[in-house]
Amino acid sequence: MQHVHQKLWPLFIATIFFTVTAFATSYPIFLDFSNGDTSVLDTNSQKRCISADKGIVPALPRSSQWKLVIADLPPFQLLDKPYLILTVMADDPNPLSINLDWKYKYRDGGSGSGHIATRSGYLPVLESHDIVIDLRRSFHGVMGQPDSISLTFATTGGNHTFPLLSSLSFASPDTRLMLTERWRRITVSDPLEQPYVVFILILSVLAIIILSAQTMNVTIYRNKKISFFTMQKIMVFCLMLIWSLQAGSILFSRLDDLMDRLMSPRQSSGSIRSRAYGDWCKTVFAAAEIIPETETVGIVTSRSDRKTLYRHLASYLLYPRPVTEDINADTIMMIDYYGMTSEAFKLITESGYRFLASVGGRNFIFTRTPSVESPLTEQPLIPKDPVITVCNESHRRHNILDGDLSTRWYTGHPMKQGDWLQVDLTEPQILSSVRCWHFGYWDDYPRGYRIELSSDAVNWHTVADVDSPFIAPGYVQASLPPIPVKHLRMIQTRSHPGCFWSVSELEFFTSNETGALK
Amino acid sequence: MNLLLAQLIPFFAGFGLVYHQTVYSRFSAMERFALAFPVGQILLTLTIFLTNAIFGNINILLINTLLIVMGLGSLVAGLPDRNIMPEERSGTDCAPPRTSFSHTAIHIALIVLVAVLLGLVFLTAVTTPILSYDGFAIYAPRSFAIYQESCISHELLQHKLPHPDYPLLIPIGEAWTALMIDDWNEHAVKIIFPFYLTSLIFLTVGFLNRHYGPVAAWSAAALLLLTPKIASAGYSAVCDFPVGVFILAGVVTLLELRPGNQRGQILLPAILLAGASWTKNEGLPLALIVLCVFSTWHPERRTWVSRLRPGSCDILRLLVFGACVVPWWIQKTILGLGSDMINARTLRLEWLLDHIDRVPTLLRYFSSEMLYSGWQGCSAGQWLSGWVMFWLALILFFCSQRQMQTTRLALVVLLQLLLFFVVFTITPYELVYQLRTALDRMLLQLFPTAMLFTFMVFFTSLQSTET
Repeated sequence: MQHVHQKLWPLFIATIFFTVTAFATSYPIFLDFSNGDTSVLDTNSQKRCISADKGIVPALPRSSQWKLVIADLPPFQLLDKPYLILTVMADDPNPLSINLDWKYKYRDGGSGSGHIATRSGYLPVLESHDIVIDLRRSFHGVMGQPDSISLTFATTGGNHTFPLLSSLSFASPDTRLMLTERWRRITVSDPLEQPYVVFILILSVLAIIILSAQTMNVTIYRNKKISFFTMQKIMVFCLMLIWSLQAGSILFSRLDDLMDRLMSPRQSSGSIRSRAYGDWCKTVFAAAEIIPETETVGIVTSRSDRKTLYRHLASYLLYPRPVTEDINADTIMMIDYYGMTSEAFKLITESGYRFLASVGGRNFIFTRTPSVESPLTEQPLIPKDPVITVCNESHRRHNILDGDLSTRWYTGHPMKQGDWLQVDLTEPQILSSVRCWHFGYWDDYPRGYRIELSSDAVNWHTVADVDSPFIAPGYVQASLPPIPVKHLRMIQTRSHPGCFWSVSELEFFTSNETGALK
Repeated sequence: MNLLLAQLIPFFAGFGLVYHQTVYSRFSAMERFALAFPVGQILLTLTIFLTNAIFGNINILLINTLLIVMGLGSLVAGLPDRNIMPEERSGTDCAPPRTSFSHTAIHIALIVLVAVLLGLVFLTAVTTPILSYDGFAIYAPRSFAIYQESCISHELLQHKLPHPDYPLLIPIGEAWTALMIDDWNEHAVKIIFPFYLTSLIFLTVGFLNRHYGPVAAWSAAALLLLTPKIASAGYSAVCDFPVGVFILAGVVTLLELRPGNQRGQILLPAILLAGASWTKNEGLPLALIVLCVFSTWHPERRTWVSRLRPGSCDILRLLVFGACVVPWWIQKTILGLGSDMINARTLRLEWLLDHIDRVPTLLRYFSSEMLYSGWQGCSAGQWLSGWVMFWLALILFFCSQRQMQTTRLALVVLLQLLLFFVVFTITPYELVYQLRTALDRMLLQLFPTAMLFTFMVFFTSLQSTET
């Protein structure tokens, strides 16, 4: 037996270690709702507490399942608005799915179960998201008053989704009315118990195998004995087999991914992302040449994952210009979730910034004061009853002059040389410039364009011919000679294999200068 | 063509040095090729760093010339001495042992599988941009800045970019590719990462093949390549992965190069472990742990005092390691680049005791990452049960077999784990945030060595015979 002890001490130590760890790290918790508040992060313990030092609601590991037992439930009829609110917070934009199921128990031992809620999709990043459970509705049809409910809170999500259960309260969503009767006991069972149990189980099996193999030869069949070494070999072989089976499942999933990629190459956005990275650097370089060194530059990006990179790169590339992200916190939040909307654009420009460039439709450069051109010296002109004709009539041409940046006309096919749009004014106007917006459809800017004017729609004169405008600040703008214009035509001079040509708005500007059409 | 040259020239220099160092050793050609890439990257880094310190810029022609001269010189100097008899050469018998696994068909199938998987990693690498957060938010801007300015400027290191105290091996490696192709191409600059993965695989295969036969070796390679964390490290440009490769390479050279082979056992491990500390800050303590374990742990000696006494080779190796690391530390000292995590404030006993209550949380997260993520029922986790198998192998190892080399390996991995445990305990930042963002990457640095240990224990068990 001494020999056995010598062999088995590591196993005993490991079993004890993992058992103690399992107990030491599981924490049934008691939440105090008497003071009623949402949770705070205790900076000392780095744990999330409901109130002071009573309760802890830890961050949920990804793809986990938690069980919350809420005991001593208050009589629902005493509650004005009997809601149970679970406030969760996601720190990553990956999709998240939350399932809530419950079981209830009566004091006399009866029980029941049901499904409460499912939330899935993209949760706003770092923003509290309430899952409100109407207890009355959930318990509709249940006889009597349950004593306790047990909620199973399961999350699944992407690799980097860490939803935080930041608070749990009985309240109405608007008043956050809290219970004052007495403390409500809530225990949160540890999702790690499961792997601990599995692991301790494996260790135990291992111990039994080694113990039995060490102490006696195990008879397997007709007095055939199995020795320790054979036993050990079988055990390692089984482990290797399990490992290989897992590897096999990975292999199949990887082949599946490969097939998906081969079958639908457009889904692989890697090259597009990479191009955006490269273009971004080039665009910032181009911007650096035209922004004075004293300017403050604002960087806005809807690419949450690359925000830090862009800020650092901008700081480096635009140095010594101060680079700020703090254009308008609300706006940036909005852009993070929904992209650059006309509302966000309005907020940014109202805070004194001027839109300078966009890259890939996700990253935007602003500068504090107008420095490239000065359209403010011109007056916008709203033509009366203009007639719009386009190369493709089926895609809402009236959106071109509806005054709304969020609507557009688009070609409906990848932009190609010769695509055109034409505006016929009812009477000749003197225009100083024309601005063609592709706001919101950032990749759909004209890669090259020509502007032609005419007084009779027969004889056309080219007044602007622009090839591949590199910086695409939401619009392209061309100066026009100060002459009376009745017909204006914009023609695409370059092609793009994937992008439409979109026009969200066409703006005309006028000044006091006059001239004659030659 | 330039992209190829950007990788080939440092590889050639590395191969020259590796050949020179291992000419009389048991290393196979595959292992030499595997070691050539990481060694070449360190030579490239040191050359660029030192020439930049002298001339103030990165001269491509000069660096290429220096690397080629280094490679040629080492190759010529390393040609086998005809006066040494074959039996005196310690590394002439490279024939793998005959084992019960030696089935040609399985062997070939495994080679094909590994080749396909490696090919997939390369394909993914060249079709995706830099994916890891550190890769694009910290290292890529530095690489871009070095490429843009064609030098490593003090201003760059001090002011403009985040984490100026991070070592420069990866930024220099990426910037070198960009400089050679004269363009910033995100796909091209991260081509070094699949090469690191290839090095890891070849090194593992070469080592295990010698000891346990080809089927075992290629099975291990396939398991490694099918581990999602390892495969993704090959294309996502996560910079912790090269640290793991350097540590493994250092460990393998220390395991294989015999004490009699003075040439190989000093310079090569020292350079490879220095590579870890040139890659990330935590590479330095990890490398020191390896050096200390292999220098002071001699279980074959009789008394405890003599077991812990380092030999002259060990001290020499430590000195060479120091010489390789010291330029960066001089630069850091001159520029006052301190670590925000490990500094005089956090390296105090009072600080550690103040934060000792973090231990349960740390245990939770460590076990979550190593057990839960690795063992989600029957489905494969991110580590493909690798860590679970490691713990089981550790227990099995202590229960049944304790060989000197595997004992050292176990000691290295356990001490490195302990190091990370202590680092997380004393971190001045929010613990949960740190754990959630860094723990898996930290474990990636240990994973190759831990897996080598696991494979050695398992294959030894499978080959063991009753006596």
